[in-house]
Amino acid sequence: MNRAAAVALGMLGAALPIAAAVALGMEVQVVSVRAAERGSSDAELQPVRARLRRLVGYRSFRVVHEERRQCSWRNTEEFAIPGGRSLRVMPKGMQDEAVVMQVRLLDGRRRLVDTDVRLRNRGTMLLGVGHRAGRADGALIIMLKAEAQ
Amino acid sequence: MTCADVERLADAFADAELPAPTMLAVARHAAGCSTCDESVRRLQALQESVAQAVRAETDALDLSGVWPAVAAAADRVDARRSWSRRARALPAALAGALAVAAAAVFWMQGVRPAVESGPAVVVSRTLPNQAYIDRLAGKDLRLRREPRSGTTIIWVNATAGDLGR
Repeated sequence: MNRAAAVALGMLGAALPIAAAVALGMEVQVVSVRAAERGSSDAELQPVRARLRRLVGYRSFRVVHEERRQCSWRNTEEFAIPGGRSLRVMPKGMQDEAVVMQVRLLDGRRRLVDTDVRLRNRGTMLLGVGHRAGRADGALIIMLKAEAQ
Repeated sequence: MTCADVERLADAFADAELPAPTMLAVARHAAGCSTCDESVRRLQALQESVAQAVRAETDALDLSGVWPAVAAAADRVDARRSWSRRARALPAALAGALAVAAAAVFWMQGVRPAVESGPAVVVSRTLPNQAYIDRLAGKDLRLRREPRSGTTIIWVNATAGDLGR
């Protein structure tokens, strides 16, 4: 194999995963969790329970809705959130191993949160809705995970 | 106490500078001696008129500009002392500044620019596995991070709503 062919193959090898990632887009997982002062927690949340406890102050965490969806770049995907809310996610691209995306949490047509984030690939960020940690009426925790293929 | 003693002590008596027993002795003598009494009264009247004149002159003085001028002068002195202190501490400060500048350069290389600008901008540098918030807009929001894992949460102060289950 001559040198030019080797270089071409190398470039192809490097370009293929990028092309695949661009074509495939990314997978977004949205998990809605009800946080309460009392009660048990779901087993699937046990690995993150301590982290949630430190962040939001509640003791009980239960999954109320979960959705995983393939998203294409620069297209907005809307995820339903319990309580009549929705989460709109628009992945914009990759930057230094992080997924750049716009995230909007809506209550009907009202924007509760409008943010631009860079979420590390396979990383998780949270959105919380509630009045105050430790209150009897509880809180809604939205776990947002993004994974680019 | 004689008239000669009173004449010698009259000025000090008028100024109330004598010891109490001597003041009393002069007063007792003046009470029984019209000449000494007249002499002491004249001195006291003179002292009173001088005091009134001094008070009038003092009241007429405009001191409003004095304290601002004093304060300004004190600030200049403080500034000079501060610069001289800085100059003395220059070798240590220079080393510290170089270290800070080097750290800042390394840090800036790791910080990426915001994707978009918006009305409210919060930029947080996180631990390796979590989120950078480049722009954040909304009402009654709080941004929290859990330092151990670097997890970021955007908290909305609103009713959680009916979550079912």
